[in-house]
Amino acid sequence: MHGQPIGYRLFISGIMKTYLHRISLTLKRDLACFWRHIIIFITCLFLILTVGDILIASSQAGKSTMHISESIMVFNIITLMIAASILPSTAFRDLGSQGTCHLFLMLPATSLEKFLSRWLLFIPGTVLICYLTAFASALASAALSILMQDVGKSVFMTYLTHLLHPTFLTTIFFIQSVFLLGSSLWPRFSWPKTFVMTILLATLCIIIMIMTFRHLGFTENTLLLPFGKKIGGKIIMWAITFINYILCCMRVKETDLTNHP
Amino acid sequence: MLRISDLSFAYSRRKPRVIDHLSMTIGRGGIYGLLGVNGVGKTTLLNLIAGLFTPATGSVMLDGNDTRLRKPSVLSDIFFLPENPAFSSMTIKEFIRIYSGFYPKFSHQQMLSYLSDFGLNDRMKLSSISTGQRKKALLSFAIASNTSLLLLDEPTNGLDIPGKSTLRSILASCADDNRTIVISTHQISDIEPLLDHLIIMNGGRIQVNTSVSEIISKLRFIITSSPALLSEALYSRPVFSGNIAILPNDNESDTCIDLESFFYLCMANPSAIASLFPAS
Repeated sequence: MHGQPIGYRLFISGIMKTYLHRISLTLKRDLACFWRHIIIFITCLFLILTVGDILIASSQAGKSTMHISESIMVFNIITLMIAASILPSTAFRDLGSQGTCHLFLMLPATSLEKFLSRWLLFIPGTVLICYLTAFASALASAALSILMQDVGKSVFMTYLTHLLHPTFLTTIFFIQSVFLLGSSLWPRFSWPKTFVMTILLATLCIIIMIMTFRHLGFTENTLLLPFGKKIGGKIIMWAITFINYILCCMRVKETDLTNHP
Repeated sequence: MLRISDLSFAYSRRKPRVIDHLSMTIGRGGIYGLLGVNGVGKTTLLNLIAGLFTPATGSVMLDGNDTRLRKPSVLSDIFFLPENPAFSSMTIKEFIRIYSGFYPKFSHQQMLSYLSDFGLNDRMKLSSISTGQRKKALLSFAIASNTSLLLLDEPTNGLDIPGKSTLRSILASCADDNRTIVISTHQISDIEPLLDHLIIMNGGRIQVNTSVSEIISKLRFIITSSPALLSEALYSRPVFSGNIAILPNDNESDTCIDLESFFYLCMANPSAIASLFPAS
């Protein structure tokens, strides 16, 4: 940009300002429409995590701290993974009825801006919400445990560091992208439809892969293991994640009022 | 301003076309009434104009822009209020705060004035007020957006008598040469005094697309009991004081148009209408 004429630079910065302004307007609108769902989600997640932690700690009283910590970690991580898929599955629910779909389509913003606004709210936004809720829940569980003079507070907090592990983050974003795409394809009852379709597709892919490799004379041990190590599961997951985002954006772009049920 | 070329649309491949090779032009400025029997495709046409449906053939160009592409610059200059608009549980003030930013020509002053005319205030919650009140609030927003093209689908449905009168006053005051308002309605009497142009759909196509002044220049609308006049009439129907008859305007005298009778004439005698008002 520095080597360009000043008029060109002003033109580009003007366009960027317009895009950012529209995205901020769209995001403000989406927040106003979805804030109730988010509050309900946070409340339910907080209660589930807190009550679950206390029940696990109580039911395993007498066992080692490490054992209790591990149980709590498994429970929380699985719950957070499921929870992180729920909000993205509602991202495009307004495409499911004529009235709200009309409002969405007539909003003066590009399909990309509308998608980006929802992406910001339901992907990194949801991850942030889940993390903050998990932290608050851990604090609440620890406080309740101290009041009940139960196990030490550390059993509830230990797992939090695992939430920042790259594998966990990769998995969360991958799962979210699947359900975000699902919400654009099936705006109504999106979560169960996406879940079922994902299981079916994954099963089909696995069957085809196994049959292909066997036909080629490879066994799982000789091919899949070095294959998986070479390519890297994380790279594949991130690639699928971005493909899901692109497909979702394309679906939003081609949506019109006749697509709603 | 709005050019529709060879537009065709069907809801699915197995269903017949609702819109079939429809072409017409709507100029800038004025209030257009879009009339037709149930199921003829009025709402479908409005959805196609707004770019909400993908046509099977043809295009809709607003000032040279294809509305189907739904560019923000075009969308910010069109407002389409459907018959049953969606709403969220926010106050009118919040609705204005969130949505007005998308319409560069939106006027807060006009919005508050229209709300006051309708007997509303911006602290009311959209989910807590009646359907009619909600319609008034959204109509106020639609008109205050000052878009070049305003599409209203059955705007008087759900409005009380004072509300209809207020709507007529507001539309009459805001109509100008830079703004085109297209009103689709079955309640002709609600908007008859406002209309500059008339579009009548029949069989998926445009049967009439003409100005009210042209209709008056070519046709006479009289109330008569004379058998001679009734026999010459292109159409007649009984009313309380006799019969409304529509005759050719040979002596170039202006009479008051009766839109309802003109509509019946279009349905009953399409060939006569086609010769008098060739659809463009």
